[in-house]
Amino acid sequence: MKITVTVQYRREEKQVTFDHKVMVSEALKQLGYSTETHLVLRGGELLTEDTRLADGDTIKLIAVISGGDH
Amino acid sequence: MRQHRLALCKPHFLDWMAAQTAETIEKFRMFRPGERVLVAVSGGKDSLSLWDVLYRLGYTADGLYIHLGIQTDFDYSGASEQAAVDFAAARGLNLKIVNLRQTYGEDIAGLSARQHRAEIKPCSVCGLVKRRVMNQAAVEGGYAALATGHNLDDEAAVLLANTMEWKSELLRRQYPVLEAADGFARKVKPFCRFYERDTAAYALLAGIAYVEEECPFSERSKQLEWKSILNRWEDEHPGRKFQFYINFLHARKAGLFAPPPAVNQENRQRCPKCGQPTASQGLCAFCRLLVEDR
Ligand code: SF4
Ligand SMILES: [Zn+2]
Repeated sequence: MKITVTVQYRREEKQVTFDHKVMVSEALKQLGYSTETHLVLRGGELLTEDTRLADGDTIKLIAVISGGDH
Repeated sequence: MRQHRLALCKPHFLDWMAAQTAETIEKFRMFRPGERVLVAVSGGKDSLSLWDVLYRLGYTADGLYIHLGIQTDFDYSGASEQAAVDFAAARGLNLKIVNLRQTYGEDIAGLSARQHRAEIKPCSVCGLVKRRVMNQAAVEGGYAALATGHNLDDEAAVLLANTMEWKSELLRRQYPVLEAADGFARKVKPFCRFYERDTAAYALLAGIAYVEEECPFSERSKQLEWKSILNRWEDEHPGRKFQFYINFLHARKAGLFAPPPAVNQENRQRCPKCGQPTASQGLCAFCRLLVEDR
């Protein structure tokens, strides 16, 4: 079953459709983000990489890498 | 270490981070319970998480926030200061704030404009100013150590840069602890064995309201380039980033690099204006920055 998920990232929001109930790690991969550098929140709750997303979910991606030349 | 990460449930993850930090502090003899520590806080995830962990572990840790006056369409320094102030207030912790403009009459933009070089980024001036202000606060405050929130990704990125450019002096000095020397505070990095992803997860799970926005000048920094190389590598081979850094520490311990001199030989003079250690006679680099004409 296809699912549609709202993805929020850096103050932007978009709807993304996946072919099935994907895991967080698969969703990030399809969106082109590394699990090494992004965390995923759903309803303020931090999700593990193996959590399955459901139709109608809203997730927020957090970029974890920071760094200036300091 | 990597496999533990987020597979743990929330309370276990927070406890695991605290226990690992305590272990790092002991392993590298960073400071002892009861000693006063000054934590340099930027308002970001790493430094606030570090302060939180030290607080939970029962260490006596004060915070230091340096207001750099960095502002674009977003008031980065103002928001960061607010995050640090709120964090300290919620836990009843002491926060010392040094506001550059109020203390020295110039913010980072003003100070870097004083340099006659046509640099786009103020990072080198900023680094100099921060090191100097942090050191002075730690020495004058009589703290046993100055703790910064550097994580494994930060350390691995610096290590990669120093290796690719064979900066042997810097490689000799890269270590989780830098001993105190005449005029220099002891510097420690209790988070050096944590993935950046873990410190971010800690901040989120512990409910720390850190500033998610980056300093506007960090864009396209070399540091981020090194990090992205390492992270591509890590994606292919989980654990590589950790091995790269930890094996360097082992190699260093085994004598791959000559130990850095106990007393910093280059900084044996004192600045006649501020009294901080400096390499050459006359004013230190920081005081020169303040008196330079536009
Ligand atoms: S990115 Fe550059 S200007 Fe911004 S805080 Fe870091 S060193 Fe300072
Ligand atoms: Zn000086």
